[in-house]
Amino acid sequence: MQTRKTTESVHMSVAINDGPPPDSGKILFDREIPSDPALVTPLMIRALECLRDESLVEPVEENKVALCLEEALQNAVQHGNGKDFTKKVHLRIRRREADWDFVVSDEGKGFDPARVKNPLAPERVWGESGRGIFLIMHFMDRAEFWNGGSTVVMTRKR
Amino acid sequence: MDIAKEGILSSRTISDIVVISFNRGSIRDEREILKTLESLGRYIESKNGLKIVLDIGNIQYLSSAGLGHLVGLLKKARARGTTFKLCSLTEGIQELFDVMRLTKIFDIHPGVDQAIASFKEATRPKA
Repeated sequence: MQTRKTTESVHMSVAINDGPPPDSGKILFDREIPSDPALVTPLMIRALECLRDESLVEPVEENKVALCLEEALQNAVQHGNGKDFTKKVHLRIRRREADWDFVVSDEGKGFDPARVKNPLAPERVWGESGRGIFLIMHFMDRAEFWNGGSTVVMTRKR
Repeated sequence: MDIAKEGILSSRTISDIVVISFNRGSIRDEREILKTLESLGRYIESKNGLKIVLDIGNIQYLSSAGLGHLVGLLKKARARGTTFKLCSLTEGIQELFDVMRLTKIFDIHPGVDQAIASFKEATRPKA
């Protein structure tokens, strides 16, 4: 049985599921990289080429989608796998009739949603980090965390 | 330190105002943008009481790390009595600033001329 832990604040709510995300849709892209931050941009560029080839994203929306993907990949490389080169970060793009998603997984232990703070709180606007998950939740149509937080599924409508 | 030689930056001085511009800024340039912002941070920390306009009109893409670096620059500038302004944000970058409410802490202008004029307005004696 799935359990859900949620933390809520005025502007964001992060829910984490214990199990893996359900299989869904046709896999268009399936790659993994060692946990090196320098490998994130090349992977992003390949993923964007895939979205372009499949006409899944309008050019005007491309940077927003890229931003969400980068935040998820960097979180996985840096926080999930702790930049341990022996651990991999896995990216899939899946397409369904009505939407498509990025599935980003790392080999870490996930995270506690209670530690995700609202970056819009007045005391955090001056922060130099902690905006990634908020941006994902803002620019994607849906973001769900699975495997205790070590997998994020970010969905956009077609 | 010569900031004009810091990779993808160019700079010029107009009266006592240092105008720093990015020459490019696509997704492919992001790591270089972050390194350049770190260099700019060292430049800001090396002097007191500067007047800086950072023209980011050529930056098409910024991640949360880039936003964090810019906030760091603003904090360093304030700590040294430097006035730090941003200008020429693209529509996409402006949206990022709006979403993250960074417009509350940054002094942002449509272009370099308006940013420079705002320094002059601040120093003009009131009638």
